[in-house]
Amino acid sequence: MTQSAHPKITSFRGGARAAAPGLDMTTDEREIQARSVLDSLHKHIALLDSAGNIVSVNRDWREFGLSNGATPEQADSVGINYLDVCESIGQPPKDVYAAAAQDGIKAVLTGAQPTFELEYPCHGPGEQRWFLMRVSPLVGPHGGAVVTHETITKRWQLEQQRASLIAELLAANRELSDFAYVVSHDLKAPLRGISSLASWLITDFSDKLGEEGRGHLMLIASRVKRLSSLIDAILAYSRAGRGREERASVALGPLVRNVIDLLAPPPHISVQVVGELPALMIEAVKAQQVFQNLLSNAIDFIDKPAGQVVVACVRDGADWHFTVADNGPGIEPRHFERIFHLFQTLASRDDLERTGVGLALVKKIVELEGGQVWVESVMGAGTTFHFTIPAVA
Amino acid sequence: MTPQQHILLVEDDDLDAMTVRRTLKELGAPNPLDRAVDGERALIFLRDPANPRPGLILLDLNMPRMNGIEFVAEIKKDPELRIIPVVVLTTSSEEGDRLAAFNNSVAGYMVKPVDYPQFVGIMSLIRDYWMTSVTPP
Repeated sequence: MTQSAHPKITSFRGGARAAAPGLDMTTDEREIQARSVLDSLHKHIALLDSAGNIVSVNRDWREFGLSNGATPEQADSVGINYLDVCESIGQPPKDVYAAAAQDGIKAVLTGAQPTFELEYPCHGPGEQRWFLMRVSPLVGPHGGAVVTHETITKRWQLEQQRASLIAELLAANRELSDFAYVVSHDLKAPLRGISSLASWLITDFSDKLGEEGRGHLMLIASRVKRLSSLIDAILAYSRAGRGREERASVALGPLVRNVIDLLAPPPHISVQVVGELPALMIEAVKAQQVFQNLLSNAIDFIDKPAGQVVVACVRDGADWHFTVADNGPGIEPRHFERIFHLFQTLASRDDLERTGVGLALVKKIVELEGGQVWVESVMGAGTTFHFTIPAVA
Repeated sequence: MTPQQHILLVEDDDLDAMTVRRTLKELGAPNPLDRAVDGERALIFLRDPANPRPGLILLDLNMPRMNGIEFVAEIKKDPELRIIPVVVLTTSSEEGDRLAAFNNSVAGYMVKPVDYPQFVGIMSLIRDYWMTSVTPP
């Protein structure tokens, strides 16, 4: 501190710098000023000489000692060797934090290390307390070190809280996707039984059932199929968050052409890719699910004699911005949010067999990749689905 | 596999067992079918010398007490039983189950479709393959 002020400087008395505090003070006055600065800080501060003896402490240091049952002489600490204090804590065996503190202080005193920091617990009788200790060298001809302790209990508690919340969340998520997996498989087994029985009834008792009976059994079979594809879709949805496959560079051009081939659009609907599609670092299955769901929606809902679906992509800052546009019937704005929720469909299931999972799956995948998905639509003219994927992961 | 050789079905669900039995009958497979309701019972059956040694085991995975993966791991440790080919017949197409099954040297892995006619198709493939394939001595 002001100890480095030279007598030379005090000779500027009355000059332009005389107004600056401290320049015309005596050594005692400077000592008092330095002490009040140290006392004003809300840290426990001690100055050590080069052997580790405490030379001086501030008010917070003394008060902390007093509040922990020390006598006023003990709290004053001057003359006590701080390295010995560390040595004596928790013997035997030696407290690991005290040992680390001792080594750190020695390292700073000898110049082996410029500074030293240590976070350590120091629990009071009724509360958990955590402190941060900092040791820095005392500059000057005699050497020594400044040791400060400050409380970081609040930060520790928050970090602890955050860690346990994250652990809870991870566990809940894992449970949820395990649950979806188990439920899906356990639901399928009885479904297969129902399907078999319906099929046997039709085969074995066809003559006794009559037209109406056979019709009802066919309906059972079709509902079984619907439930089965719903279960498959839930399974796909719960799998999307699990990330089992390796990310690799996936060229979207060939992938989208492959999806279009698989969907085999009817001859009156043209599906075009405009321009070049980029390559993404993504799990191939997920990229395929996104395009397959958006394209099959576009194709299946088109109500025009000449249907058009256009896939395109432009670079938008740090993102790739994809669009899948169709000239279908359009979607009313009031449905824009709902269509991305699980099990929401806009058409009656008997008109068009859909699970209501597709767009929810698209949204989940895109958002897990760090992108966004949204829709624009003009009733009667068509719908455009937009999504972004960060170009650099 | 000869028409006289037995097939052992390890399956806990009665209706699924009926489905396999009926399918084999519809396909005209002459092999007698024995059934165990879980892996434990199947092991007891196989280790009783009074019972016929099957030429093929059809194995469900999801069963109480001892599941299919535990069962196949057990018989692959047994020098007497390890040569019997095991075909997994399951609802699960999950990666973990597939990996565990093939790590235990199963001869095949079939996912049971929900639709009965499709199931008949799959069973017909299994029958054709194993009626053509020669079995271990």
